[in-house]
Amino acid sequence: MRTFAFKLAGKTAGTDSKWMARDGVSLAACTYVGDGQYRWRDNGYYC
Amino acid sequence: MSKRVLIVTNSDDLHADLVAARIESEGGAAFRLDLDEYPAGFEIGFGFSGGRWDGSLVRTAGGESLALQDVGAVWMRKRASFRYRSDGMGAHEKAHADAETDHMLLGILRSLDCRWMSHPDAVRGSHWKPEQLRRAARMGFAVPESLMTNIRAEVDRFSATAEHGIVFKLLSSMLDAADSVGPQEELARGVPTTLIGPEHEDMLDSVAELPCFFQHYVPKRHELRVTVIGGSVYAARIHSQDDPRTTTDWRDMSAEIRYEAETLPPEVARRCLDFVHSYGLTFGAIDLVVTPSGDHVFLENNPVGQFLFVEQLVPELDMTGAVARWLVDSARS
Repeated sequence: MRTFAFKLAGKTAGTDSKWMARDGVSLAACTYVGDGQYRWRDNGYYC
Repeated sequence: MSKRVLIVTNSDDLHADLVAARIESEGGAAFRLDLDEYPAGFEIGFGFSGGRWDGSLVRTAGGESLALQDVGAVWMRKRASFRYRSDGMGAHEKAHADAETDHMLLGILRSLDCRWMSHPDAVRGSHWKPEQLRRAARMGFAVPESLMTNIRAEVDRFSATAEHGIVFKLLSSMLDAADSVGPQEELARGVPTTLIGPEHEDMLDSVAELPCFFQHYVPKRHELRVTVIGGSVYAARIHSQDDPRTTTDWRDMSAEIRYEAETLPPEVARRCLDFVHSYGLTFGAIDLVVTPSGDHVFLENNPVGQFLFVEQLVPELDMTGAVARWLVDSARS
């Protein structure tokens, strides 16, 4: 990876973060679909 | 006469699920257009005659139809990749099909005489964060010192002037970028706003590859999510400083920090309304920091931001109902 953003993302990859998701509600980019799973495609061009 | 509310979104949008139900309970009628089912899942016939567009959309599954002239309000929510009836298109053909579909659909919607939450031009014109900072400052908000650069020495100089350090912040979405590549090529889902420290020293030379956005870190008493819906303001206090996981970016939801309803000082509420309305938006989700001395510092406005995560934690902020009522009232007027 060449850019700072992706190097930063690589540094934190694999951590057990629930970044942007909590308790069945969606934040910037995900939707809770049950059984502890989040769909990561509730994103969009207009975010 | 009461017309219908058109919701333009994708099939994963939980916000649309809940608002559509509230529209019905408020006495309105919603028609949901999921773009990841469009155009394959619809029969489409629009014609221009007598000086106006007419025609209808019919959902293939179930046969529900929407006449263009029956649309009184449009809620523009989320985008998605279009779906076609065949998988056999090459990359060039698919790219052209996407452009044609986008032009036809957005073109016909723009021809409607209706109210919007929010109009695509307003959304597109309002989402540029550097411009937001300039506008916020002109409207009286405190705004963090900010830097965009591809010069490492500039980052060091900027950092040296920052009493509390600097943060790196994305201006766009990694997920949106991932939509244009195959799933095997997706590298990351996002990066939270990050306080730059010694552990990043060996990476900072990479700003030369792509200009990066930095801001002075603003000390926080707490943070606010201020959601503007029509002419109303719904503010939530986020106790982000109660957990080390959320001190810099409160979006790490593994930390169960407190959220509560907030009453804004009248001048701050007015400024938030004026900021959102200055773009022609009818919705906005503004992130503010409240400093230890009580100043309100503007971070950004999300013109199609999420609000359910706040409403679930602060049920008295009935934003689902507010959005539904605004759309139903708009469709009636």
